[in-house]
Amino acid sequence: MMLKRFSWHQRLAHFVGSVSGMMLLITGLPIMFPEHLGWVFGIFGGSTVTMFLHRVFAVILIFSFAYFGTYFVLERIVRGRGDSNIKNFGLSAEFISEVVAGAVRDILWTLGLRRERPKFGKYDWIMVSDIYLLPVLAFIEIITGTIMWFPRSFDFVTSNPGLFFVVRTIHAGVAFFLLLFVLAHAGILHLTPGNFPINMSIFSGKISRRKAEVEHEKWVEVAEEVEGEEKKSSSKLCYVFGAITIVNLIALAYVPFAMRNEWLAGLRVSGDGIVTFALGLGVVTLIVYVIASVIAFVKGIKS
Amino acid sequence: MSRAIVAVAFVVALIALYPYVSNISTASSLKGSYVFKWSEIPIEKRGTLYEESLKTVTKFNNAVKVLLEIAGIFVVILTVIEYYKYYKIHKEEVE
Ligand code: HEM
Ligand code: HEM
Repeated sequence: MMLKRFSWHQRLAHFVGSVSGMMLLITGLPIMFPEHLGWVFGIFGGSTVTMFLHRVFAVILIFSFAYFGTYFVLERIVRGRGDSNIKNFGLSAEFISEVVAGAVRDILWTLGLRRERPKFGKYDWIMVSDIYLLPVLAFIEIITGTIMWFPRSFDFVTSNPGLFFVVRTIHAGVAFFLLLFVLAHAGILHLTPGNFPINMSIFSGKISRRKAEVEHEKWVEVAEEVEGEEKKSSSKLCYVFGAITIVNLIALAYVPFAMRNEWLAGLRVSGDGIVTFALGLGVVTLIVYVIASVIAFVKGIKS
Repeated sequence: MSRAIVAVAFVVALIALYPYVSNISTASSLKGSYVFKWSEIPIEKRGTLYEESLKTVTKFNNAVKVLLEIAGIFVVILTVIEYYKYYKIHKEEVE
């Protein structure tokens, strides 16, 4: 038995936003770390093409931000919150304290310090945090990216060219955080027991009732039942890939410690084995995720 | 109603995209009006502006570095906890 978890618009928004976001990382990171990721320019046919592609994917990201942002806000106003547990656009003190309490209790349960796992609605605390954090980070990238694309349209840059580099540091810093986010996000949702090799919910829009009863207990009663078959997976390989992602994240966490403040050139990292390994594996993983997302999205439409 | 929402969202997206698409010719950094050059600033102002921006840039560089150091450690810890959580949840689901 399956439940309807995501609407067509939600699936499309995740697909367009995540693929353009990952392509922006793949085309942007080699500019930030040319010594370590120079080979990426080779894949695309040189740095000029790569920078051009960065702007093409930027346009796609801006489209998805404006289109889906407007769509979801209007849908919420017109149709109400439906089966979502996010009340008042998530802006009330009551809702925020509910999310924080859920996070604390959930972590305590995981660590064995609490008997019962808290019950969650459609979106648990980490999903609610993602739903709010990601659009904010995308918006920062859009604003800072626009300033770097059209520096002459911004008075503060033409009256002091040095400020251009402040904008670039912010753009690059948020980008690095997004790399950590994607690896953690996909690692938790796909490389875990029960989900590996792929959690199709965001692609097919469906989740099994059995899974939802444990993970989104309070949502099950308001969720809509749909046709579809559940695929069970129990491969032990998930631990191998899970370990690879965690090692990758640890190596990436080391990178900021190796960054040096090079004045207007921003934060620079010199050749270093761990950094080269961390960034290389990270970008290879992103390429795999882009391909996997396209395949899964097409499969999701057919299902 | 949902068609009306799609239509409004589409119009908003087209308006948002207009400035970018109409300037797509600047999308290759070689052609475009790329970085504003110091030489375009009057010589008598250049020195002080440079000093000033160096201070601001340094502040931001250091702040971003510290934030990323904290964020990296935070993401590693959270991922390990969440991975273990799904391991525990899976055991429950299988039972
Ligand atoms: C998820 C979103 C994005 C990510 C992860 C990302 C990532 C990056 C990275 C890592 C760099 C290199 C920074 C450096 O020089 O150290 C960069 C540069 C740049 N980005 Fe983005 N970016 C994103 C969105 C955007 C958007 C929306 C725009 C435009 C509106 C944009 C425009 C630029 C421009 C103009 C540069 C300067 C480098 C060049 O000439 O190509 N970016 N980006
Ligand atoms: C830039 C990249 C990405 C962004 C910004 C992003 C963002 C989000 C957000 C905001 C959510 C909803 C909240 C949540 O469940 O955490 C979500 C859900 C989800 N994402 Fe992503 N995502 C990205 C990449 C990926 C990739 C690469 C995959 C897998 C290949 C993936 C798989 C999923 C799945 C399965 C869910 C649904 C989880 C559920 O059942 O609620 N995401 N994503």
